[in-house]
Amino acid sequence: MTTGVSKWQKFRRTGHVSWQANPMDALRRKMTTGLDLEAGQDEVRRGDELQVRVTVSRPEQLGDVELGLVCTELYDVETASGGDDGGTSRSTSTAVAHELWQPVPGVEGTHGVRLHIPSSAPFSYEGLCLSYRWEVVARGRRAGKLDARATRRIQVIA
Amino acid sequence: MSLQLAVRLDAELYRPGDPVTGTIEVREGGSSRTLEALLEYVEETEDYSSVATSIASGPLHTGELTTGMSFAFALALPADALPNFGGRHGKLYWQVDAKADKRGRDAHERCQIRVDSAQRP
Repeated sequence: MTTGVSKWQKFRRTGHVSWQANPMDALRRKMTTGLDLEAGQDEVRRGDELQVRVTVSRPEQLGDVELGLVCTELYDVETASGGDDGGTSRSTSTAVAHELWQPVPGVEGTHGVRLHIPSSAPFSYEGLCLSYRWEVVARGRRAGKLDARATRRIQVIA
Repeated sequence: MSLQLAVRLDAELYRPGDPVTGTIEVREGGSSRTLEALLEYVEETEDYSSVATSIASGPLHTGELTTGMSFAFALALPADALPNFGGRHGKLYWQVDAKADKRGRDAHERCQIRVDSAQRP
C-alpha cells in the first residue's frame, strides 16, 4: 500500500503548492457556497461610491453577514536572517490601510449595497517595494467557527 | 570642497500635466561631467526605496561647475501622473533630483514636490 502525499502535506514540505497559497482560503471558499458578491464596476475613483450586490443563498449556514471594503498595504522590510553572520533578507509585510464593514441582511436574496471610497484613502498601486490592493469582501461571521468569505478585487483610481 | 547643489522650485503644488520649473543653484563648485534634472516618482518604505518613473531634462550643463552658477530647468508631469500618498508603512511621492554626474559618487540634491490628484470636473 502506498501512502499518498496530500496537498496540505506538500504545502508543509515545500512551503507552497501551485493551486493554493493558504489552505484556510480553500476551506473558506468551500464554506462560501451560500454567499456571493458582484461589484458594479471594476474601477472606482477615490471619493466615489461602488455599487455591490451581495447574494445570500443559504442564510442558515452563514451567521451574521457583513460587507467590507478593505485596502491592504504591502511593504518590503529588511529582516534578520537569524544566523550568526548578521545577514539580512528582504520580505514583504502587510497591514490594513483601510477597512470599513457594514451589516447585510442575513436573509435569502440579493442585497444592493453602496460603498464609499474615502478621497483620502490610498489608490491601487503595484510597486517594487510598496503596493496597495483593494478588495470587496463579504463574510458570514460565525461564532467559534471559520468565517465564510467571498472577495472581489477592485481598482481604486487616484 | 565637495560639489553642493540646491533646488529652487517655482511653485509649491502641482497637478498631473503641469510643468515643473525651477532653478538648480551651485552652492559649492566642483568637477562634474554633466548636470541634469530628473523628475521622479518614488516609492519608499522604512527599509527600501525604488524609483518607479523617471523623466530627465537632458544635459543642462557639461563640464566644471563653479560656485554661483545657476541653471533653469523645465520638466513636465505626465498627464496621468499619480498623486503623492503617505501611508502608515510607506509613501509615494514625486521629487526633483538635481544630479551632477562626476567621477566617483554622483552629487545629488533631491527636493520633494507636492502633487495632488487631477482636478475633478
